[in-house]
Amino acid sequence: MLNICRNELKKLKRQKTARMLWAVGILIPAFDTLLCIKNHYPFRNLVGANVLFGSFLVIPFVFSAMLLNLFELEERNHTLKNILVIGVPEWKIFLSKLASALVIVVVFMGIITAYTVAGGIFLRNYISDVFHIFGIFLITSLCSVCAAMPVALLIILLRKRNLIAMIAINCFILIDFLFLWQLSMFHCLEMHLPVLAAYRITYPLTIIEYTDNLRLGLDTLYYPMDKGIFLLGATTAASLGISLWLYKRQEADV
Amino acid sequence: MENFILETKGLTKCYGDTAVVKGVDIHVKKGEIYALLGRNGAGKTTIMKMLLGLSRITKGTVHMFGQPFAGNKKEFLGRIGVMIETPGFYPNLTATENLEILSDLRGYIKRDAIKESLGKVGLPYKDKKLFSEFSLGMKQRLGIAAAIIHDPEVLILDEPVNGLDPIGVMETRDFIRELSQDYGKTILLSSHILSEIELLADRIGIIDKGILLEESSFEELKKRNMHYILLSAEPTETVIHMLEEEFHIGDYRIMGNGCIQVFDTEIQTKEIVKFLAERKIYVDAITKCSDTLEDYFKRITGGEGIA
Ligand SMILES: Nc1ncnc2c1ncn2[C@@H]1O[C@H](COP(=O)(O)OP(=O)(O)OP(=O)(O)O)[C@@H](O)[C@H]1O
Ligand SMILES: [Mg+2]
Repeated sequence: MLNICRNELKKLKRQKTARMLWAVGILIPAFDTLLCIKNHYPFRNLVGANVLFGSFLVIPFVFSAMLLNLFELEERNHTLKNILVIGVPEWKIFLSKLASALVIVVVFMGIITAYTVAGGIFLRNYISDVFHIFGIFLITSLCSVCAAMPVALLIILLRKRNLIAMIAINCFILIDFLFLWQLSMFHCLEMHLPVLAAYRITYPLTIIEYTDNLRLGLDTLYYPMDKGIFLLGATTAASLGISLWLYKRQEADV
Repeated sequence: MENFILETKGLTKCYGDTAVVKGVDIHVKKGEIYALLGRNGAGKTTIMKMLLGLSRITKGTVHMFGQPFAGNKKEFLGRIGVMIETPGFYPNLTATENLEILSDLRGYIKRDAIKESLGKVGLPYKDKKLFSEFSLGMKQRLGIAAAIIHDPEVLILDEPVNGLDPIGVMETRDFIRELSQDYGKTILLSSHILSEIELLADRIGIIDKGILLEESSFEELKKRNMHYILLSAEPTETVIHMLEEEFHIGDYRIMGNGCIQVFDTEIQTKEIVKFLAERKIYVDAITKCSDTLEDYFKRITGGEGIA
């Protein structure tokens, strides 16, 4: 399995789409870090901004675009048959692509952590616990990726039409993000969307030092942890299960 | 019963309501070169895909190495090298990198396997050229290299010389023959280039519109079918009737110009002349001819031929 994963990552070498995604993942968090530094925001706001833009926008986008790319490149290059005639089962191919996309997510979290810490040094009110910061990004990103897992379905269904698939997953991620952005305006708090649950259950973790304001936010955003985890788990399991089933069915007839 | 390395029974494939492969029984013996011959769209690729589990079998069974393919897929695939249709590789990687990925997935492979197989098809090892910059023939060669990288017992090659230049065709042909003769590999290939098949195959299976019309060794085919007597005598119907009565000819054909082709070469031409002369029918012309594979192919598919 590890082996297959490494091979998946090798396939991204010198690849245009992959380069573009790397650029997006590296530039956007850098941009909002710079913005925070320029405005002399407190460090906790920098963390908040990077969680919002990094974990809930860039990460799910990079994750789903990479996943689409990994599936789509086999179709475009007619290489799936090479893998299937080796006797690698479809579920292994599916899982290794998923795992590779997750590995890439972890790398990006490292980058975002580095930005945040660097930004903290400039802002001079930096809390020197790198692992704490990394932990925050790790948990928020994983939750947001779980919430975004229905894209796996879109990817499997649309992977043979690259452009449409790309548009569809971007729409999905953007709509998800808009819900977060307009949390109160759309009366979103009453909704049980996976992405909102992900944001709300991870919110307490992202608070580095409490202020009255944040205390208030914490109370409004409260969402029962166990219910949230269940919602995310169910979303992930259902999306992956159905996608894998579809994938196996489709590939039986290449 | 003879032992076949690869055997199918009633192999059938339907897309929706249309059957594209209909009840095909092929038998490939150990160590031979077996060629599937058929026009574009005859169903060669579809058959190969079904053999490998790439395409779902509508009906019928596949046996390999004397056992059913169904339960032993993983093990059998390790003993087979495959190239189906145009070979697919990652365009952003070099030939060596592409093969590294495939051999990694195979696991258990000799250290120099990549170098060796690239050498065998005449591509440089560790070259910087990306697959996207390859010419058609180079791509095809890489496809063959990928098929032989794990030293398989059986090779399944779909149109292996497609897109190669004359020298490349010759080299590949020699190479395939060498694999079969020196290394005892069993090779199933498909082609619509008849001259190629004539030079290469031990046995052929002729496919037309999804049906296996004929399966026999090349020698046998030559002896039995590709030699015929060409006869010109009037009136044609009477002549045929007489020949049927006297010589029990079964397989004959009347050509456009009124000539008769008799596909039963045991009969002596002079006997026919004598027999007809005795009945006051004078033969205009009579000769023993032999078909090229192409003529034969045209005849049994009833089409315009190919290649
Ligand atoms: N996915 C599919 N859906 C419907 N019909 C198909 C599909 N794949 C192949 N066919 C049909 O099956 C028939 C056989 O195709 P196949 O590719 O096996 O031909 P072939 O003998 O390999 O031809 P060629 O010499 O051109 O490679 C064709 O008529 C083709 O149209
Ligand atoms: Mg074909």
